[in-house]
Amino acid sequence: MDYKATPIQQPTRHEKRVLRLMICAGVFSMGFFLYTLLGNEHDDHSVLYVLLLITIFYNCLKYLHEWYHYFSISVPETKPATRTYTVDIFTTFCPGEPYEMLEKTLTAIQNVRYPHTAWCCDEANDPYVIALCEKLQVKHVTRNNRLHAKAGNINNALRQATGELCVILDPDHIPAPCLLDDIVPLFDDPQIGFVQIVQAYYNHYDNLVAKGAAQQTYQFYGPMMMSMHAYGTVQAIGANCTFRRAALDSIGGHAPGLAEDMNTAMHLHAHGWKSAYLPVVLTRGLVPASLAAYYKQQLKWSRGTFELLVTTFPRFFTRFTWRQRLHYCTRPFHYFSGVIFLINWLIPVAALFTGAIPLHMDMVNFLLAIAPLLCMTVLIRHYVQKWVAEEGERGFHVVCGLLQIGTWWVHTTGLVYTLLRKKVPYLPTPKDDTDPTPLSLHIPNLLVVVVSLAAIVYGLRYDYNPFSLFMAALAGLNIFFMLFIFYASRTSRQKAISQTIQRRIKRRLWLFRHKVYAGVRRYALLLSIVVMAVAVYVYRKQLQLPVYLPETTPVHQASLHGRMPPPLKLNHTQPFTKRILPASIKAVVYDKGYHWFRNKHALLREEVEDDLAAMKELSINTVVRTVPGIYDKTLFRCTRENGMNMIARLWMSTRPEYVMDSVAMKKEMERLLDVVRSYRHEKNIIAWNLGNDVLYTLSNRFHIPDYFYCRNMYMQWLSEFCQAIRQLDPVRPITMDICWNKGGKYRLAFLEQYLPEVDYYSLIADSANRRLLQEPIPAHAFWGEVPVQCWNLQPPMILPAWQDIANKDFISLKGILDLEGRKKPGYDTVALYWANRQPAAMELPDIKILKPAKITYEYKPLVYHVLVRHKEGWQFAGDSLQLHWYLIRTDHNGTTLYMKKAGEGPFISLMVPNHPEQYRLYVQLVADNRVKEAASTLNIPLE
Amino acid sequence: MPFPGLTALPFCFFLIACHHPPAITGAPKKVEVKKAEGVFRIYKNGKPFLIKGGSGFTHLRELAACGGNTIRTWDTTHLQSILDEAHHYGLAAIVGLDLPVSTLLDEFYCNKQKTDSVYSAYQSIVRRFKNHPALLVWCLGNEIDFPYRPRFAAFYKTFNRLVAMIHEEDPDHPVTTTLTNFQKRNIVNIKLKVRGLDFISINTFNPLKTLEKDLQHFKWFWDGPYLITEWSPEGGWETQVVKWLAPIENTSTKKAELFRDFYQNYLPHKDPRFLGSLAFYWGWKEEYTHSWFSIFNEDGTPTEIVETLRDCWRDTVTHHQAVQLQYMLLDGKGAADNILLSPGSTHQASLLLAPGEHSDSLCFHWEIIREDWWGHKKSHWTKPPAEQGLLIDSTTLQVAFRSPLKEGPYRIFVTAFNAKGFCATANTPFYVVE
Repeated sequence: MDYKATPIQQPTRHEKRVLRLMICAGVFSMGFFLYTLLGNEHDDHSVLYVLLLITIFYNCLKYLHEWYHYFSISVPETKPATRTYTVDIFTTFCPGEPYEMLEKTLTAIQNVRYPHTAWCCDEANDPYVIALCEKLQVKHVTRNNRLHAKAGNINNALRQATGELCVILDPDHIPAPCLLDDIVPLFDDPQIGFVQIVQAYYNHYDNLVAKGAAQQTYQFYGPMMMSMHAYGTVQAIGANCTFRRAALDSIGGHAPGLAEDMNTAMHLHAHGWKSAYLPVVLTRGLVPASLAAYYKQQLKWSRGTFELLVTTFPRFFTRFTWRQRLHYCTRPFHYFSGVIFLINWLIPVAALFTGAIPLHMDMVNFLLAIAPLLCMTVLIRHYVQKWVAEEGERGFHVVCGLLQIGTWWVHTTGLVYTLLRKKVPYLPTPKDDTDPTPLSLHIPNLLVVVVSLAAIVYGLRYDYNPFSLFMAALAGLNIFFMLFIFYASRTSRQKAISQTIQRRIKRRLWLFRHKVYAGVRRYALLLSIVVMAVAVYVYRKQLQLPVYLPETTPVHQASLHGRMPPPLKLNHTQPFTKRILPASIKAVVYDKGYHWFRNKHALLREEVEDDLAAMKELSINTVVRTVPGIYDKTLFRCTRENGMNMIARLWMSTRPEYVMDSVAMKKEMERLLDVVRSYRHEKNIIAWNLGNDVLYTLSNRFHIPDYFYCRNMYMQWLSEFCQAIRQLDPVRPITMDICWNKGGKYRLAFLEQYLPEVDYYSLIADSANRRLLQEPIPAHAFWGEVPVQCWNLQPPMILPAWQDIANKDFISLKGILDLEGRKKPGYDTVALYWANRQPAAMELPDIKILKPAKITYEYKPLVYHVLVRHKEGWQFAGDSLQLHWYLIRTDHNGTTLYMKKAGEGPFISLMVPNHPEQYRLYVQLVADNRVKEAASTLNIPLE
Repeated sequence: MPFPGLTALPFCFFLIACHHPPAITGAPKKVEVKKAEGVFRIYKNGKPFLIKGGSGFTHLRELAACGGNTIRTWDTTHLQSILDEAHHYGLAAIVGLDLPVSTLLDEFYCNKQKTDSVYSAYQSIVRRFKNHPALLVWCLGNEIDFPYRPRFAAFYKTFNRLVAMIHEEDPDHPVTTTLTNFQKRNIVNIKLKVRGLDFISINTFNPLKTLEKDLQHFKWFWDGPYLITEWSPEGGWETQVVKWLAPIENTSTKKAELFRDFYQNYLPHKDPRFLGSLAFYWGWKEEYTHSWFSIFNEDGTPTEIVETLRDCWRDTVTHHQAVQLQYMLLDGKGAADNILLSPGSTHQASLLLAPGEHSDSLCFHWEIIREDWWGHKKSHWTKPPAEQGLLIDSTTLQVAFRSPLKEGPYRIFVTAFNAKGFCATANTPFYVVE
């Protein structure tokens, strides 16, 4: 058995400085994360959100607790002993513990070089043990009661022993011959009450449970305890602790309890004794190697430490130092993790069952905010692993984490028992791993598996969307954790790997991993700086408004010169019967949440239901939606259930290069036809709509001769495509959008002539061309999307947008509801024309932005005011009005791309952005559930 | 003031950099700056000369009549006739040699061809005018700014070369440059990087109130002589503004009062380093508005400021002949009420005269002009045309007017004339909102 008798190196000043810098970076990252999380604009007050906050705060506090300890990491100085002490070494024996183990331990004790008296505190008064003690010249003590369990047993022996120091060894802990050489000199300081050394194991590679249980102690017995040494809060551990007899006597012997070690330490600290921690491996013992044993140990500790929190801690509160108060107050909360894991499991399950989202926050922003914190915790963890006892103790300790998750219900039970004051019997942690884990111990974890599975199935069936998928993934992860615990408990002692190749690979992998860890430790500061620099860079980049390059227009295609356009087919072989679209259509374009990634709106089922109900109030009976999209399942189901019809919009790619690329166009056709194929069975689809006026786009992007070529190519494709749709779906009509501007009439005439496959043309009006709205239109055309401002001229069949849309890089403010769902004046227009309802609510006054008489110099502040129209004319807005300002980025065409909050109140001081001509100010006056808008350029135009 | 550690370093450089060759002693110069008995003065033809004048190059007869002794130009346009006229009225002239601001590196200072052509042009100017009896000082550049950063080396090189050339061509006249307000940066860089300036000149408006104190605090670094080349109470950039950020202008009566206050209380007359001052703007110019800095009206009629400056320079108290106003009201409201009007609506503007003035003896001229907020972006400020057809009668004490149809910021101006040859001005900004 190998020991590590030389203590861990004292951290150098440089190392301490690096560590402290890293901790500062960690605290900063945590602050940043919490700031981002709590500063999130969306007001969330759901139970799920609170639960999420609890687990986040718990973890943050845990990290802070850890970092607080690492901050003062240190090792006591070892000095040569100045005098010799009389020493008693105690070990305990309980009935049922293996004799072989006891013999090994007692033999090793007798091999300890330092002069000592060995004691075996035998609870069983076992004849074999008596004989063994006699053989090994170990003093045998027994008693006739079982009072106070282990503590009582030792106290019983203490009554007979007289040594100045006493070492308490568990029967499984085999000491090294040099056990006392470094420990004893520390007692030269008369205030030292006890000295603790590392708890190391020799069976931790036996199986996964042993591995996990051992891993849990690595970070604690290494770096954490080293700092506790500096803070005067060293924890006595049941085994391997050397006490000064006088100290024990001053507190009336070993203190009892389930966590008798911690209780004793508390008593000693409260009585003013000091403690020391020596990071050396001088004994090796057994770690629980079966799940049952592990659970027993954890329950004992959880119950025991919580008990101390409510009993001993308040008693000694005034006698502790501040650091001890903090230590003994926080220590039991390690076992609170059980409740936290319960919450972690409950969140996705509850989210799936209720269809709610715990946190309404942009996923990318969330990840960006939490990434530096996660990186810093990993880096700090790895850096402090400089001070663990052995190389094998370094690494990520995944098994340990999983094991802790699997113990959630045991820890929770400990807490609940404490609250109920229910007692747990003291049983020594079983040392032999022969007992198989009874199935009953798996019931809570299997329950988690079953409920999570049910939640996944139910949740995804109820509402299939990216968020429920994410929650399902989390629930799945929990299932995996629990199954892992089940698997781990079933694996018995790991078989020695026989094949040399396998062993070699495993060894190589281990070496490689540990080389990486060494590298991380070595360059920890550099890596931390990189992490922080990247975080700051990305954060600043996020704050900046994106830059858009204007598209080159029109495109000049040299390759087209001199090429004849393909001929247009005038005579179709078969006549096309026009299919009928019901005249009673009152449709709305509902593309909310279409590009789900980084979208402001998450289209949860409840939200769809609410929207559809609101639409029905306005007598809307049809929904126009671009397909395919991730929310389609929910959407089709909800519209069907609400008795509403759908017009499926097929959106074609319009890049001019694309139109001439026959392979790409063929693919595009296949893609769209696949959509038609898979959606034609949806009963409430009443028409297929070909969205966007491609011919218009082409005419804008090409000079005339080139345009003819592209147009004809596109027409050929379109005709083929429409025929294919007609074949797939012979019943439903095809409608096609046409931008109704100056050239609209000609395009329509052209299309009617060459594209008889299309049944209807839906005219999309533009408020800039109001005059056209009053002109008569051909028979196969109808008024499609008309902006609500023009409905007094021409109430149409389609409302251009239900609600405003905001994506990361696109924004549309055409809706009759704003982004928050408040009603714009357009809502009343629709109510008037379609539902025949006069607006009931009081109308909000008109507002306007008053621009300053100043030049808009980039990066200089300017003040903008809101004016409100009163009967007497325009007046400056008062403080009582709720006004929200936004800065909108537009492209060279004036298309709105990006919106950023600019302030609140009747005026703002705006820092003029780069390229002010590409920005618009947008202000909202909000009252109740209504909103009035105004927008303007940043500058007063010059003539 | 304690010696701040941070400024110690540039100071060391300064000690090295400021090692001037000993001055060549010879015949007395026509104009020079000398320190005698601890007091700096300009000596013109051997006699001390305290500059009291107008920053401007017109209305020289009036200036001489008021007791002023110096005028100033910003460039060399019509220099011959200006100097001749100045000489005629016994005035001295600070001649401005215009230079682009120092930030125009690529556009000017790094372009050898351009700097060379300016060099030779100014060489011939100096040669031509160095013996003119009215010439007092050469002023190289106006508010061109002296930055720290090394990339401005080309600017300093050009500037130093020009100063050296002027001294070489004309050893008889000092050379200066004007700085915007008191700014340590400018003074430090002139000390460290510029050679040959005889004194510095400062253009300052409201901060004149603290100028003497500021200079005193910085004396440990620089304690040379200075001239105030532009002073006037309140520039358009430092005064109260309405909500659309248009500055609120004082009436000419109020301005005259402030001129006296500034002259008496803030000009550092007792400072031994003070070489004199020039009031801004002696003449008529558009800047913010056409009346903001103008001491004279567009047609040359003087405002009360002329009388105030005469009193200041001559140290007299006289009864002023100029028209005196209280304020202007638009629909009973003042500028600070942030007046918003709807297009094409009818309104009343009225002027309140000071007690003792009678409207019968005055004549008025009203104008509505859109706010000149981008004027300084044009090559030079020009008065925008007045809006036509809005005033029913523009010559009465009270006028009714129709607001302009086009949305935007405007001002309504009034000028009151009296029979004694003086005028007074006032204006009110308003915003037309559709």
